[in-house]
Amino acid sequence: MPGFACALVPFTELAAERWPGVLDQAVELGLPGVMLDLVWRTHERGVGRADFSGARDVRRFLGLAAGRGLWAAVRLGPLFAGESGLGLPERVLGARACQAMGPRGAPRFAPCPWRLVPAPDLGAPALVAELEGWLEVALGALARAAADGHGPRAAVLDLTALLAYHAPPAGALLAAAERLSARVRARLPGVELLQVVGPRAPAELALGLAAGADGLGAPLRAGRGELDPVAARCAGLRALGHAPLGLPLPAGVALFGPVRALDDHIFTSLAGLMHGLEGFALESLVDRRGWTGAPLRADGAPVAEPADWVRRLLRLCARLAPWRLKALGHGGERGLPEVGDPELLLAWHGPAGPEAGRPAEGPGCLWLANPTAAPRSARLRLPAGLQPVDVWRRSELGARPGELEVGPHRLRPLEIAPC
Amino acid sequence: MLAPELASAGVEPEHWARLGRVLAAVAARLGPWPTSPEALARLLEEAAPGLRADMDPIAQLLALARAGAAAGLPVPPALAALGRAPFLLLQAAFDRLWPDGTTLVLYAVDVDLDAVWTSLVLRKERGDVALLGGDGLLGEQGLRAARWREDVPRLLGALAGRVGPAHAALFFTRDGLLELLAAPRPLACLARLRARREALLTPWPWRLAAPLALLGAVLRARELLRPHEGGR
Repeated sequence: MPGFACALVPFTELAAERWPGVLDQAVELGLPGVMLDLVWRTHERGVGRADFSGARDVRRFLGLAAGRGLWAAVRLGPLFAGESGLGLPERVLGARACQAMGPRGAPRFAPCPWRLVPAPDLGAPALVAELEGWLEVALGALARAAADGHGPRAAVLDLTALLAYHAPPAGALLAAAERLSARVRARLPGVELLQVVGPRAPAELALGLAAGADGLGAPLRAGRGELDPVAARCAGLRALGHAPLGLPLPAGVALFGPVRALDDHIFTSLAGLMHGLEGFALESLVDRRGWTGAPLRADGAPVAEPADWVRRLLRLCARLAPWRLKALGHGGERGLPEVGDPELLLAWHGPAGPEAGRPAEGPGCLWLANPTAAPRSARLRLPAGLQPVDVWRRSELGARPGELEVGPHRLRPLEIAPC
Repeated sequence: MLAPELASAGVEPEHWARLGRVLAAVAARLGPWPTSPEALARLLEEAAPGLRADMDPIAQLLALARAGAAAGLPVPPALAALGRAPFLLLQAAFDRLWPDGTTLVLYAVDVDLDAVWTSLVLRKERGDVALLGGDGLLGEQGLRAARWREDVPRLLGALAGRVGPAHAALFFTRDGLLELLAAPRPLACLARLRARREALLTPWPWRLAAPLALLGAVLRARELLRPHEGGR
């Protein structure tokens, strides 16, 4: 099991009486943890005042999760690209001192569901001061949960979500990250601090964020045809000395944004794993406003296909290491894939067998993901004792008996079984 | 025209993915769009002086198109032209064409699989599109794809009870819809599809039909009057 696997429960969008059922389902799916968002806009009831009651009672939610053996990671933003108003209260969005200004003296704008809003400037002292004020309130609520023994395992900050629309100087962004991180460390001692490093984060910024974080996340909101950025993100994080986390890894489809399907998520997740992903946070476990295709419906009922995918993904992670196979490539035999090998992933999920070992009997499914854009195929040899079940697929994929070939940008499921 | 707090319900992920492809095909017919984040950022920068956070999202879109056209960026000319009209006028026309409290409906059926291929239900309230939904809104009362033509009246009744009466509804076979999207003359293609019973437009109010027919006639006339490529 990877060290960090969880799924977002949008707890403030669910009636509080639904929380136990949803958390029970998370356990049933095999998730060791859940993720939750603390969105400023959702909780603020005036300057310095916040509502943590009823369906916003984060302390109670964390207690219910802990009672089921689930650890929790809390995303603190400060910006949430998928939330109305980027998760900021209107008073902050509308404050000139908090807005990013363009070269013509007009505010820059950025998209959020379903409108354009002034882009906040995370390098602006006024916004950072406002954020510190909100964090103090939010962290206070988490600290009370921690005092109950139900504190979060990890806190997640993402200061790079809007870099496509406004990029403050790296120094200013790092200074903001440092101040916000210091608040988190002070109020939640012992809690892992994770930083999300978006695809547009320059190296200087990524290095700075890595220096102050316990882990780095690569947002993997990519589709099948966009795997190069996934590879680049993961490789970049590994270069910084961190095992990358898929944070977030899509589960379901955001209605606002590029259209993705379950196949895209499967492919992205496998490609991420291939590039050394050592954990993930699925977003979202539950359907919510502006979201469809999650593993659970808003009433907590599981949806067969995506729920099955979550189970398989978790099993796959658990069995990945023992099932690294050998490949033939470029005329010579070599190990494939090493963690981070950008060439090919082989991942097995099959019927339950001895823990972390080969299934005892019956066919399983071998997923082959080859995310290279290069116009060459990857070839590998099945280990002794395994053969494809499906003869048609064998002839489609097999170069020679016992070998398989997968073209670039392809994902193939193949039933295989012991000979 | 569009509520920033747009609600969504009953959207099947596969339907949404297919609808995305349909909408992309429609958008491509309108003209060029900025596709990369860099191009979008440039467009946003050009439009920023004319944007406000409290504008209707469609007004924001039209302002983008207007500013993009003025700056020579790739934006659909029709949107840029609409962007030059006063938004209040556009809102009034929108309200005349589509009454509050009613829905617009689109279905496409995969006749090979006897399944709904994609679906879209939009409900308008107080001048804005306020709900985005799909066949899932109706649960067990959704379209019975195997006999979809006969089932349309029942479906519309269920929709009226659960979501709102349909102001206009379009039902296609999947192949018919794909043919329409690729057709050089969409209105003529639509007429052929109706004749072949691969498209069913019911209800189809004259307030929508007449402007569409007029638009089709104008486009056809422009096409006929345009000098041939390579001529003279």
